[in-house]
Amino acid sequence: MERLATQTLLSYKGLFFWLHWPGYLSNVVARPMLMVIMWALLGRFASSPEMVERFILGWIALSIPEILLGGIIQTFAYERSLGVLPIVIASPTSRAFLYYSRAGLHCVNGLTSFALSVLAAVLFLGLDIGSANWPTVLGASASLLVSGAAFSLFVGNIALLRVNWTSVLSWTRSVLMVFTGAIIPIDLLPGPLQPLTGALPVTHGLAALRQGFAGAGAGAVGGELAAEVAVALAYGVVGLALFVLFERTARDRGTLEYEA
Amino acid sequence: MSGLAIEAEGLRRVYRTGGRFRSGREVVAVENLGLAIEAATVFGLLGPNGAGKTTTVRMLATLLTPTSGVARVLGFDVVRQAAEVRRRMTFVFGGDRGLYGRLTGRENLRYFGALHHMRRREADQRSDELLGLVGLNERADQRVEEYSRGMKQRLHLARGLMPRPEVLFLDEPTIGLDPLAARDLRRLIPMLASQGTTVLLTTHYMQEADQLCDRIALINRGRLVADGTPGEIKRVFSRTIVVEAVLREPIADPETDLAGVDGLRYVDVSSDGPSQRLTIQLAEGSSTAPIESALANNLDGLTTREPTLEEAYLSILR
Repeated sequence: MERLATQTLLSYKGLFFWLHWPGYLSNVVARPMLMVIMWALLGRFASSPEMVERFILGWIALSIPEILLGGIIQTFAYERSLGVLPIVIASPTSRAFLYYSRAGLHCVNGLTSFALSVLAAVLFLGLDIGSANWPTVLGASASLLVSGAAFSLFVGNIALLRVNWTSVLSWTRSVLMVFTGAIIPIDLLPGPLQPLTGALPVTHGLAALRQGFAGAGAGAVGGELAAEVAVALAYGVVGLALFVLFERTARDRGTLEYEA
Repeated sequence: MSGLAIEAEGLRRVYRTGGRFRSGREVVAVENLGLAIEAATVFGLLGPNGAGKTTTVRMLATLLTPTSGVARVLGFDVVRQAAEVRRRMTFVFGGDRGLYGRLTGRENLRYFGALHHMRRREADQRSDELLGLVGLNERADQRVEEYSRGMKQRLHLARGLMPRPEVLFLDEPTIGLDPLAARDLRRLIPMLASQGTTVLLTTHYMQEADQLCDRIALINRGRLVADGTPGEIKRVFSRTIVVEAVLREPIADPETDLAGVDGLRYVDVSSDGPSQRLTIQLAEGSSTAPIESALANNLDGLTTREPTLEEAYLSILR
């Protein structure tokens, strides 16, 4: 546990380049609040008033993987660009330990973004939380956190293959925005695509979150929560397998020490 | 401790250029390399740029998969038992990458200690000890991004020593170090070997290799061309004798003047005050008499000596 804490804390501090007050306030505090306001206004002026709450809750759910994707993908990418990757890979630490410890403190940022997005929605946009069922909301946010972290680690693997991480980050964010029901209702998507949305993080957790804010109890959303956690487990297990596979590929190709 | 710490048989590594969708070509970096390195010794791997030294070290350090052949570190196969190898070895590569610039020197060591299963207290004690050893005690709590290149290189060495490795790979470790720091490092390496660590060192500095290594392997174009003690390399493999000739008057083109000397391999010219010094390499068994007659009245002195490692190296590779 002590080693996990040391690795999590120091790799976070060493690799998280916008870990300074202006960068942190801008990315973890101001951005999620501004985004929720922007989406709400977009809903109000470009669509219909009913869409406002949909957009607000959509963004609140997305705020978690948004911050996790950026932070965790950068962790992998900067390890390569700093030349630390070979040292980390050639260490005796288990691959699972190396892999999962990268998510640690970014999850705190994810929760912070989530909480601030809710706060902004309540303070500035009049989100009604009077009927919210808080255990359900908390359960949904926990499931979003776990799936967001697992998905970000899964995507972060590509840094081992020297793929340009900024473009991967952009399209991954776009996929989550379009195909999870955060902005566009899933039933408006083309038929063949609709079943695929269930394999993405956010989709089920967001459905549970919407019901939680509407007052549904944990029993009513149990299926959605379980589905979101199952998605997280799938990305977590497949991601670790890919991490091991990509490490082997990088050793075969001799690319561990290349800069991205 | 005795026995072999590092072994390689028929080691081969081929790089493929080009991409998945472009045809490329194959570059053989290491070809049929065999090594047998005794435990608790300092072993030098020498060769020109592109000879395959770094590729060899990376294969032994589990960072690169050999295309074929077998390599073992402390009896463990570097491919099939990579985890066992990683528990027992570390590496230090030259250059200033490979550290977390935003962390202090002490935090870097703590992190790398944790990667090697060291507990916080143990890692802190060890880092204090090593920061003192490499002369970074006073800068230990400063961010590494503020370190000079030489300081980063010293911190790399401390990182490599954190888990008390049984095998330490040092790839050009004195690059970027000032003469004092390089001297300190050269003092440290034999001490590590005397404590039981096997050190595999690659370097371009021949004097460093001569001074530090118990045995040396010379590789060129991926192939082993000589393997022995520094003395054996100088005497046996170079098959060269060196003649130092001091001339009263400088001559413009010594190679032309000496062209008829049997076994002439190389002439190096340097100044020695007002006179000129010729360092002449002759094939083993050649006579010095033709030199004396070619230089005749201009000759102020002539001595024969064993080649230095650098001369032997150049002679073997030429």
